[in-house]
Amino acid sequence: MVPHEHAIGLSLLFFGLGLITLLMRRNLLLMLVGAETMGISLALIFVGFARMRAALAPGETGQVLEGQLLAFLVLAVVFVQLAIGLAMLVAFVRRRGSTDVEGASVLRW
Amino acid sequence: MMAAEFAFYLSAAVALALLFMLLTEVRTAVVLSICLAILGAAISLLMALLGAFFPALAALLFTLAASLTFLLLGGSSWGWGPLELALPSPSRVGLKLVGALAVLVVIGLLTSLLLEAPGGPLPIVDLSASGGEELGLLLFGEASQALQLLACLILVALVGSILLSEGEEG
Repeated sequence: MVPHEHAIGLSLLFFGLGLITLLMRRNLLLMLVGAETMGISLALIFVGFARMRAALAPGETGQVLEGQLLAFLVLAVVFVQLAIGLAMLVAFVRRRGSTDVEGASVLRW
Repeated sequence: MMAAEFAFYLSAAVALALLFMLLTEVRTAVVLSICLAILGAAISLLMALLGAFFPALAALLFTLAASLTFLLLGGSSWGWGPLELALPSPSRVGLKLVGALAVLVVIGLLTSLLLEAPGGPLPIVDLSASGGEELGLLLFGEASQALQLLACLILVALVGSILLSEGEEG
């Protein structure tokens, strides 16, 4: 089986890459994808920690199930956030005609 | 057993490469949606290999829906041409090097596992109870309030996104 340390480390790496995408790209669409990547990697972290709990206390399958449930809930919230973000992005592009984040520097609609 | 490890590290390398590609190379909405779909498939494969089949299925479906939306929006709203990209060139080169290094590290892990590098036996976790039935009982039993809250959130997001994207014509 895959060691849980590798799964958690990989999830943290994905989270960091999503954060770098969010901070370095100036296109709102790609920033949204970066935020989504961070959310998915968060769900993967929950799955990895559930595996770790299961490895530490074998026989207690409730830990695995709770981790998976939390991962599912996190995924649902992340994609709800993505839907709202996309709707805001569509409205922004209609008004400003661009997906560049520089155009969103004024907090006035 | 070895096939699962091979698939885990291979999909990890694919996901890493795609993330770096997303960071440095993606210029059009079509490439973005294709990258997102493959990334979602790789991450859900990782989840499935960790025994979380239900979240893996959810991640796959959600990511495919998101990539399809990006594809349709990219085509209809912003055109099929390149999106505006303002990542400075030195950063792109540096990130490409770091990305190649990270993918090489993961492939090295894969190779060391294939060659059965020393490090002791890996822990074996009983995942026989991670099926859908127990998770469904938990979801609609103890966690039913969280599920109801999530349903309300999705409803509000649905209405909100329709209202937001209506624009001035609506």
